[in-house]
Amino acid sequence: MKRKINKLAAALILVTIAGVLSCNKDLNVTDQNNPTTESYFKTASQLQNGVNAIYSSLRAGELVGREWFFTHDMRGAECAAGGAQLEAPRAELLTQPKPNAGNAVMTNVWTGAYQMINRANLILSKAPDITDNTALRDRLVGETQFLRAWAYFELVSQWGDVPLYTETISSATGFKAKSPAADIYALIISDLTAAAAALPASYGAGDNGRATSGAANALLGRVNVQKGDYAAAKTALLNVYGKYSLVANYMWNFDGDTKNDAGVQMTLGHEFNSESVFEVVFVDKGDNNFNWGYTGEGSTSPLSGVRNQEYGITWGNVIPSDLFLNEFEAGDPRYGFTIFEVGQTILDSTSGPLVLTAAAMNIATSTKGVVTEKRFFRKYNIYDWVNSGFHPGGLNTRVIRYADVLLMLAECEAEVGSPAQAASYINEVRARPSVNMPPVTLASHDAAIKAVMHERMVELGAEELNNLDMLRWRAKGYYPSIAPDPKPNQIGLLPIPASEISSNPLITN
Amino acid sequence: MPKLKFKPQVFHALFAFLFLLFSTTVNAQTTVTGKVTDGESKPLKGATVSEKGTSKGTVTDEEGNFSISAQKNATLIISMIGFESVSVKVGEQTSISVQLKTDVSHLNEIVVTGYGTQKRALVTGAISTVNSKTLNAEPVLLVSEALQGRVAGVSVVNNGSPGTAPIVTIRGISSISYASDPLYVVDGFPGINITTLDVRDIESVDVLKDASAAAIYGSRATNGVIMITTKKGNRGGKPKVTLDSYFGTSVITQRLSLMNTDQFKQYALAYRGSQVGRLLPPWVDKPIYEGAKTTYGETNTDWQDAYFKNGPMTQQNISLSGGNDVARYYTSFGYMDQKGTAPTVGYQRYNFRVNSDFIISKVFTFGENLYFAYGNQAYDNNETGARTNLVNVIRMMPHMPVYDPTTQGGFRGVDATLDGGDPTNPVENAVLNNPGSRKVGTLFTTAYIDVNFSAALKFRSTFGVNYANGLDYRFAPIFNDSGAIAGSSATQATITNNRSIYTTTLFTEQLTYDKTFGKNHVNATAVYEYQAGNQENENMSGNQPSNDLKTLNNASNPSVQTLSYSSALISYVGRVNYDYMGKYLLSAAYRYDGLSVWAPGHKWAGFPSVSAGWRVDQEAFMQGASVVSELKLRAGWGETGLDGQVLGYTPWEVSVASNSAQYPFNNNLTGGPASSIQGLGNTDLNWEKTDMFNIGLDLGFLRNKITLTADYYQRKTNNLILGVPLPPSFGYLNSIVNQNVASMTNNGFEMQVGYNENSGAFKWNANFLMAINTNKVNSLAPGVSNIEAGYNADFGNYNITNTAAGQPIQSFYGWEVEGIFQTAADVAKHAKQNAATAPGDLMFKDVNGDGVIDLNDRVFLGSFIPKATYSLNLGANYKNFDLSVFFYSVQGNKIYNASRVITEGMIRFFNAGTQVLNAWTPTNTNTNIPRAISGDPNENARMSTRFLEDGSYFRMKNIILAYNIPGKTLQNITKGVVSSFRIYVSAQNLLTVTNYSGYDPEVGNRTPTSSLTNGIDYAVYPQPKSYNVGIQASF
Repeated sequence: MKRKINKLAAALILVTIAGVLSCNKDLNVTDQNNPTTESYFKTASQLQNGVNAIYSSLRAGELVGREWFFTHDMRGAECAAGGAQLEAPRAELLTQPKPNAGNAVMTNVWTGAYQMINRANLILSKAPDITDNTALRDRLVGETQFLRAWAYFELVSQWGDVPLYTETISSATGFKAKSPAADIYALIISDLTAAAAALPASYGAGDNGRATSGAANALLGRVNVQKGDYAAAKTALLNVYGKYSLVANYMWNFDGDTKNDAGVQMTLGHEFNSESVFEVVFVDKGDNNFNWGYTGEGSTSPLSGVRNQEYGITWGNVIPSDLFLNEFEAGDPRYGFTIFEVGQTILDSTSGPLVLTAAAMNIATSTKGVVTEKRFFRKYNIYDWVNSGFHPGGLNTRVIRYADVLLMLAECEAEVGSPAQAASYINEVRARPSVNMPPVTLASHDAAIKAVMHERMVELGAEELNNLDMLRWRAKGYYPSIAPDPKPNQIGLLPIPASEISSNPLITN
Repeated sequence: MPKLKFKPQVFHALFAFLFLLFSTTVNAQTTVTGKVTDGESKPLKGATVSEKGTSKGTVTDEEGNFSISAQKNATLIISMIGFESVSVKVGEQTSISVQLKTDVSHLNEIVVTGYGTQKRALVTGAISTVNSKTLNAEPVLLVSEALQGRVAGVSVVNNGSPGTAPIVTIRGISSISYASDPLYVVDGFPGINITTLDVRDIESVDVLKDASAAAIYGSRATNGVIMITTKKGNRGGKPKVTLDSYFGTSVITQRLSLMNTDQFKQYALAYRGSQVGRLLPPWVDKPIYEGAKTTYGETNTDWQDAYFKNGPMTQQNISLSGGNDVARYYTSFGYMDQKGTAPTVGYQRYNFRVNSDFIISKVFTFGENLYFAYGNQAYDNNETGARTNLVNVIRMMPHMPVYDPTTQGGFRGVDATLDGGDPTNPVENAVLNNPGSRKVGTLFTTAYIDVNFSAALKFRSTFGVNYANGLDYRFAPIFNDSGAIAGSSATQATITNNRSIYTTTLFTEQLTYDKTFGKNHVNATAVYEYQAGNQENENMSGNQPSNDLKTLNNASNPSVQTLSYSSALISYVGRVNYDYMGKYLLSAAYRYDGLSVWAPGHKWAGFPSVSAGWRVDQEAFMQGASVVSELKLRAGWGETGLDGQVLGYTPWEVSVASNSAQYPFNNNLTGGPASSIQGLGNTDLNWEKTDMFNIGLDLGFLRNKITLTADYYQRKTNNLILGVPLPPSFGYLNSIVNQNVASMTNNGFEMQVGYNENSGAFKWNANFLMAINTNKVNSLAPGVSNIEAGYNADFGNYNITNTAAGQPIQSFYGWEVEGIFQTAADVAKHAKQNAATAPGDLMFKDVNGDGVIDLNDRVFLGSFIPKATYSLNLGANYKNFDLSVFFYSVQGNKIYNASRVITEGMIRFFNAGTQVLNAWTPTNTNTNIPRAISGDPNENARMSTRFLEDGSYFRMKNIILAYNIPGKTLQNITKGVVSSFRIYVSAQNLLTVTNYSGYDPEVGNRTPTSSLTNGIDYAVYPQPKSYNVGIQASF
């Protein structure tokens, strides 16, 4: 008996030892569901997916999908609250001279911009080792530089001095303090100069939406205008001049693929047209949904933008400001292209006209001249095709269009060229077939600037440019020397977001 | 023949006499027979009779009889669990009758300590035991719910609808980033999800509270260990059938005061300056739907009544148990069904158990536990979102109908333009759009073989498998509720079909040595354990063009994902328990764990513990003390870890999220797959380790009629894992990186006082528990001054809690309200709040005196952690009736009543609480409700003292009145078939005394996987009252 037991005990101990030896290697577990950082970004095709991820940040809710247009439009002078429904952090940007550092809307833009920058830095660090398709690689590097420059320009133009990262961060303590705005501008300009050289003027259809050399030059122009270097701006913009053309119908700049609530295609719109220099792509998948995850993540997530919903008549968060409504000259057809008023008909393009009643519009009234009534933005809206309680749209956001290029050239001429030449660019814009406004004649610097101010507002109203225009012109003292400040007392630069200050020991406001 | 009945006193006298008579007789071997009975003279089967100082022993049979050969001068020790041991000198006797007294002190109670058991008397750690009877006193689904108020220092906060696990913490919160769930060990198998366990199958629950007790589970024991032991059969008994059955219902009686249609109209004018379109001509006079008899103007829906409903519940458990000298078995079938008090939700479970063991020979014993459970939780997918259905209940306009037979789906939604806002119909949301079910089949089985090499040396090899196969299914139909807001309609049905399979295997090889050397007793244990986990997920979704198609067969827009994970934990455990004469107790243990979760080089760590005890009552100088019947001092120290698996499988590793996003170049849906790196990794990650020191005292008076246990502890964790926030400028989607950086201390005191009156016709007992815990964060990460949490735009646009050094974890943090501005002059002379501040707005305190009210004026406002929790259980027996009442109370905690942001915050326009009618106006100045103003420009609803409330409550948790049909009556009626029959009625949460104004002061955590949002009432599922009637019978 005892022997048997000993044998058994020995056997059990052997089994145990065998178990111990065989099990220890089971502790070596790694992620079984994703490629590792060591194995990925080795080919041009993988690099392209990495670049696509910079674009996906760009279209995410943090940026152009939602908070980017809110940040610009609320800080600009062209919009007003549609009513109490406008959420607090947006209303704060709209009405307060200075938002608090915790403001979630502007924090999203900050966060989204730096996501683009970090992703871009990763691409730029991986690219040199990729050799399987150097042509594609070099183009991707150009796109990356364009996107990084765009993101840094959002930051420097609205926050001023910001941290400058040019490499991916690999340590949790890799903090950077603020760099002078001049350094940020220097990086942007070098990126855009390189991108303009590396990028093609256009792509095959499948790649519509990628940054082109025209986009890089136009953005370089915009950056230099904002920086005050009008000569450099003019040089860059002249590289674009004549390469694009204004579309005949002003409204083609703001339409896009649109389905109705049942998923039926109502229009394809006029995206990627001859006037569009750079646009952010959205698609109406017919899912009546928005990527509320905000980060652009999700390979099958909604690809819509929510702007038409926010500025529409059900949510009614944003309406045109009185100042904006009254800026239009009598008879400027752009007023009708930009604004819907009560009593007008919508759905003309599809199921048949529907007359807008005040009761059907969940928005506050506005006053143009002496008429107080309900009005909302037709620009970038879908009411020509669909009237839906909730329907985020597929309209691409034209971040840079040729009319802007022409008006920037006009501003450059006003500043460092001739008022007459400025008038000539403005008149190109006014002569668009569907607009057909009489030409202006300009004789002085101030008159030219004033004309640029006017034309930018009526041509580019609510296109997320007014905020930067105001910051620039206020800094130059044009308020009040040329025009009254549209938002007196407004603080020029945004505070660094509280989440940055609390987590980055090198930054204070 | 009538049975002889001795009174104990008579017996003792007789015994003493015999003892005196025979104590001097000479040594000679003799056979002694005898009978062992209990206090009621019923035979006791299975009592141990052993000769002192030898290894000789036997057990009593069915009739309580025994036979043992012993020397004449020997002393026989008769013992049995649950009874006081008795020593008898043999002398000349050949026949001995012994009556064992019930052991009130439970000193001989066997405590499950992990890899073994120990007598209560010899325990040196802080271990509390809850028996089956207490566990089953309330009708609960989960064993964790049954523990509420039953163990000092164990906090249980219910957190949702039926089947949702409550938040269980032992001795306070010990982690900032992770839930403080204890480790559940079921029949020796660590890490079991107890959601599917049938409470009726549980014999006892032992809570290892301090580290010296818990450290035997090393790296997983920081939050305490809950040892669950399931039932076994009785040896030598006839097969016993037990039926346990109840029926009941639960109901939400609490109501918020919400506005009716007339009040809503009044409020609309005050807030928006205009009436909503729906309540103006022509709409106001239109029927609510075509063919309806009432108009919008006449409709007055009480959305709370529409939403809350009665939740019937029933639970049945039938078990069969028995055994003999060779085999024991316990087998049961359980069924439970509980409907929630909100639409859709409920939980249903079927479970089967077979526990058995077989003594194959003197050397080998084999045993197994086999459990299968099938659970089906019906849930509302909108129960935990930002805008829960309860938020919608508050916001929904009273002029809107719930149902509309003319719409597709039968419900009615709002039109934001006409109705003034965009709440979703909560009943529709729960019933039509968001119902889901989680079906989980669990197979949990262990088998072991014992090898008794000798009386002292034993070996046990255990193998176990825990397998759970879950299917989470949701069907969101095609519908159109005629509303005009996000989610008013769907043109295709969406099916979500997510499967998860968890498999955990366990091998435990255990060697135990237990021997007494004279006055020294040693118990040593060595264990090797290997536990492997595997998880497979399949996530699928797609659309169907018809509501008749509820599967993904040929679905459009299919989305498919499968994931696979694995983990392994390898452990070496050693423990020595030593005692000298049962008087001086010493215990030391060490566990060395290797876990796959950490990066290479950090996988192994050791977890030591030591403890000591002194049974003062065993000392000679205490022998004369008649008042003090028990006095033990205990002290222990140990180190434990937080289970690394809460971090996931490879938390240190950063992978590429490949093709996880897309960009639709040229509007092409398949055009631009996007890959990114979304965070920073940390290969230095390691277990959160807690040092815990405990001193305790066990006191008994008057033969333990009064007992007292008190413990003081200090828990200190120096390497808490913190998701250290990365600056947004780092540009990672994962905005944190985990690091072992922070430090936190919990100090606490626990006390348990019991009183037992066991004699007389009226027997009663009282058990009072008290626990005090203070929490303090000592430090966060370098560069991290604080961690704010709880932000939600719907609930006031600011973070609600702040975790900072020197303060309790997640303390409430915001502004202090000083009053209401009455005049423009008041506004002008106060620190500047913002440009829109006007009379009627709240005045916030300028804490830093800089003349501006901003983020820097926020202060710490208190903690959700109660200053103390109490419970009192009173039980009484009179003749055939028994009554027990259980009170539970928490005191001194704060609740941030975020639901008041919805009822009276007036941030956006919706229906609201009637309080808003008392808003400040130039003519209604004597109020604490600020002005009704569109958009709340002064942010009166910001996180402030305004909505911070005292969360103390006193609750009659359970009351139960039972009648036991007397044995004789039962005998007559059922001709001996039924041996006991108890019928009872009970009620839970019948009475709650609190100043808290929300639905329920028992507020959990909306994101239970984190520790930073406890005590914020975002309007979540309240605790219902419930009423039950049940029977317990055995055959």
